[in-house]
Amino acid sequence: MSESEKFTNTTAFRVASVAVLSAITAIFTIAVRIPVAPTRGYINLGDVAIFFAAFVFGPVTAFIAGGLGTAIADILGGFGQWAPISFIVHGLQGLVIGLVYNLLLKKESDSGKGNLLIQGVLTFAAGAAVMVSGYFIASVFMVGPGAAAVEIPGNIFQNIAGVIGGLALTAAVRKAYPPVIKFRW
Amino acid sequence: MFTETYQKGNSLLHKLDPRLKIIYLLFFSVIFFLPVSVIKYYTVFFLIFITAVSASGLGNVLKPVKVITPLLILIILLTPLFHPEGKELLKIGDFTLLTSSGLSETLHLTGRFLGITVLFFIFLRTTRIDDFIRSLRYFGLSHRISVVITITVRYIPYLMSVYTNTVDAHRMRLTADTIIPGKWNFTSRFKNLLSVLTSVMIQAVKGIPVLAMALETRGFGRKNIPGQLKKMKALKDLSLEIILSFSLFLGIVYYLFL
Repeated sequence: MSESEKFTNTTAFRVASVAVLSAITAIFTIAVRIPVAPTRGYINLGDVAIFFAAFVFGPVTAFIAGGLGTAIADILGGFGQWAPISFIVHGLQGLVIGLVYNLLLKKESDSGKGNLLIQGVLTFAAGAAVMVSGYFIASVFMVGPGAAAVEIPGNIFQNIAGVIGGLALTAAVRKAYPPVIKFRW
Repeated sequence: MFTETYQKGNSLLHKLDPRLKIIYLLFFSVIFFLPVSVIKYYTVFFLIFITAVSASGLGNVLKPVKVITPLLILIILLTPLFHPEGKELLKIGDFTLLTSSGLSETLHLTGRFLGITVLFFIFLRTTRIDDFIRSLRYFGLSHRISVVITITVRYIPYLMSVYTNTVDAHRMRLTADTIIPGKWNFTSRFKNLLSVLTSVMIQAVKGIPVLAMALETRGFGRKNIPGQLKKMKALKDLSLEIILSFSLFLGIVYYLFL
């Protein structure tokens, strides 16, 4: 194991990466808002950061950063009542995307072939399934089935933007800062 | 850029121990999901609303209510359609618009959402984020996770300034020809946004090793967990608050179910 790999395996490095990614998720959620979905108040690009965290840092970072980042963003944005739901739903979304991506990476290393489209479609399907169904179930209890159904299109759109943005960001960051490849755990 | 929702004050809620406030938050959140009558439901909501107004003022408490108004309208419009059973109250032709069951469910859902919104708002208005983290530590949150939350909260203003600086820098690079006034092009907007997000992400990711080294220099990762400079009150000093709070909880449970 090289010195840099040893360093990225330390608790301090893991804590730092999760904290920075959580802050980035919160910023992407707060800074870029499109006020469309009536129940959530706005569509945001927090999912871009969650997809990025899952692709680059792995499922555990994506789980904590996705959950914590969106929960803090909800609190700071005045939607505190959604924070516990966001924490669970976006956390699971990040975890599932990361696990699916790990599986795809393993298959690709066995076969020696990689396909960006398959990666995008499968991670989108997994992430969207968890996030859309998670919010729908939670919203049914909070606001009833009628109002909960209204947010489904917005959440799907958020995931589409998330996977496109996440893949583009991953490629751009890997190109501009190659050491990031070793940050995955 | 807000990094905290806390509002200074001298009310009873401000003075209440944050650990007790977390218990209050959980207790009242659960109440809004219990199958009790509409009148009892709104009595509890009224109690929370009055407490919130006394701690933060009517204008402040009405702000989150204003934000959720579109959603409340949706609940009122859509919920009755999902409950056709019960006595008919409103009918247009052959189509039943409102039944007794639909009305009851609509009132329950609006009360629940209003109640939970005001509850979380007032909790966050009267509790410092540091006290909140310390309380979570008291309830068993690990030291690592509390450090993660603390760093995240501290990092948000810095990364927000990186984001705004990057947006300004990108805007300055645009020429008059690249901006078409009045025309909203989603693809070009998304591309521009993506280039901004990429710059911010690179800045953030590059900072991770530096932050990790800073944490290691301060001894983070060693087995002995450091103590806290600010201690929370001992439970015996809170005995009166605890007894009063649990009496209140018992009183509310008695009112709701007996």
